[in-house]
Amino acid sequence: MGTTRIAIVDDHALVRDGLARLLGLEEDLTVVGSCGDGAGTLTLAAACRPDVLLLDIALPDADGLDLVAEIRRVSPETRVLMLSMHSEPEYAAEAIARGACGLVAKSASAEALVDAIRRVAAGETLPSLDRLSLREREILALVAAGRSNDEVARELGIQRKTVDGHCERLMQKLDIHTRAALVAYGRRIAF
Amino acid sequence: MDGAAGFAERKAGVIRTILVRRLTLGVFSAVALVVLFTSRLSYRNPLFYSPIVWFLLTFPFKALIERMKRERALQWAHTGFFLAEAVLITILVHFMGGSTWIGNIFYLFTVLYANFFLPRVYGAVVTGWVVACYATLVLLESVGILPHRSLFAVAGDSYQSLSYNVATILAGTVALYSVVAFTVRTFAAIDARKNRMLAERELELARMSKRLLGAQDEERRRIARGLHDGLIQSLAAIKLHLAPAKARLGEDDYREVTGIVDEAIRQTRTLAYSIRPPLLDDLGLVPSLDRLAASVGEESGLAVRVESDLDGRLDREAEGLLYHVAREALENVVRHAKARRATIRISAEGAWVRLAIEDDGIGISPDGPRGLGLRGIEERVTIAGGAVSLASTPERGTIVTVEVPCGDDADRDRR
Repeated sequence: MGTTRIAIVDDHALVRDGLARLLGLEEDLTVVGSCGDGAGTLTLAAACRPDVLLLDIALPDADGLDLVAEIRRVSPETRVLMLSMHSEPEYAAEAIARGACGLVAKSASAEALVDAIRRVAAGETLPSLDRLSLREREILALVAAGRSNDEVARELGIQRKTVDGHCERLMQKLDIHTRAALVAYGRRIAF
Repeated sequence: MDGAAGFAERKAGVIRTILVRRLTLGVFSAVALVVLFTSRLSYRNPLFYSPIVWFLLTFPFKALIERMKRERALQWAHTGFFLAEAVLITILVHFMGGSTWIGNIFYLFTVLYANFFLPRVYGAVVTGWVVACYATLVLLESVGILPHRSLFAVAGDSYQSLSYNVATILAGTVALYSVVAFTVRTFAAIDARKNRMLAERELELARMSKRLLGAQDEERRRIARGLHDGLIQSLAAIKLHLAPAKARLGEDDYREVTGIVDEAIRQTRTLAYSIRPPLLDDLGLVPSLDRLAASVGEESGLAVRVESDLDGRLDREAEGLLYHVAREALENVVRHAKARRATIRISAEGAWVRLAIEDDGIGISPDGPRGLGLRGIEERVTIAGGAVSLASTPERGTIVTVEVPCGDDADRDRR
């Protein structure tokens, strides 16, 4: 397997630099470019066509989340991993809903950062669905398709109460607190 | 100051004066009745029925004035009352033989009130009408078209000459009521100016509070942003730079230093979050409320649900305000309500956004004393031009509902 080509977008030069050094230590990762603002991001993405683009949510001239769709337009094969100082799960859910492959906190440990990048490069979405059971994935798919819990129960031939329980566990596992967020999350990643 | 509230206040003032009249005349009527039953005077004597007729006149006019919906209509009805009152007083003065003594004093309240409550022109018309009524009576009596009457036959009642009447009584009446009208008018003007100034100051105060709150919000946003975009990023950068130095530092030292940096990040983040949650500016109200619900749940065990039919973002001010309201209200629920569940409902209706916080706790008395939290909510919402309402059933729970104007449409409405 070849090296994963990475581009970094962050307005904080020290963070950019630190990330580049950190990733430079890994043999299978190469940093191919970086910039510090929204305007340069699209040029960078179009020119480098990176495998993974690390994108800061808060840029001085743009909302990182708004850039995701445009990045995917100029470089469809690039997978965008959002970077943020915020670790609240709402950010991750929103990032996934907007077309990114997930979100990782800048304050995460070096190992976690590198791991996250590798997993995204391998096609995973973060937070990962590994933790979900088969039944939970099934239910998430139906909920994402806009079914009510009653309808889900009928379709799967199980009790309504069981569906309620599964939904609650799903939300717990994914750290999501409203049904709307669960639907958005499911639509984006599951299928 | 002009507007529905000002009009309602003026109307209430007018009705109060009519009630004062009714009270004084009622006392007079009662005294008259006592005199009637304890003396041998006839009930036909105007001394008895005059206060009663005057008293009765207040009823239809009070009803009429209460029905008035506009300023102009109110002024017309009030003027009508004064004009009718003046005619009635003139008839009474005639029967009481008032033209031969100082009967013109009976018009005093009419002139006083008319000049205090009505605009200049209306006041002048009523004053002129009063003088004209009295003058007509005196003239009619003087030339003999109407007889001179007397309540109590007084020996040596003299018949005064026409010129004497015109010279003394008419001049006295005109002079007396000119002075009264002028004086009252002056006081009325002072009163009106005072009210206007007071209303202007209130408006200015409200504007200032709003500016102040806006400035405070902006300041908090700036500080929270500074912490997030500056300090925490630098701390994160330190951590990133430490990783390549891991081999040189040794595993233990590396763990210790990154631990310290992590703690600094955690502390700074908590501080920034308490000043203004970055979620609010980054993702908007509903995700922020989700987070709030989750963290309140973790800390207190209260199960909080968020239900929203909002589409997209609200303006910054409204998002800040509603978040603040939800946070204060939930804090109240946790502290006082002994509730197990709470629901935050948020919905948009045209240019208004409604936020309701419902709990299943012990309830509070809607008329009882309000905690600081609720008072703070009321103050901030009122300043933003919104409204707060409270519904509570003992042992069943409480709903705090807040409605605030929001976005471009609301701005247009307010203008």
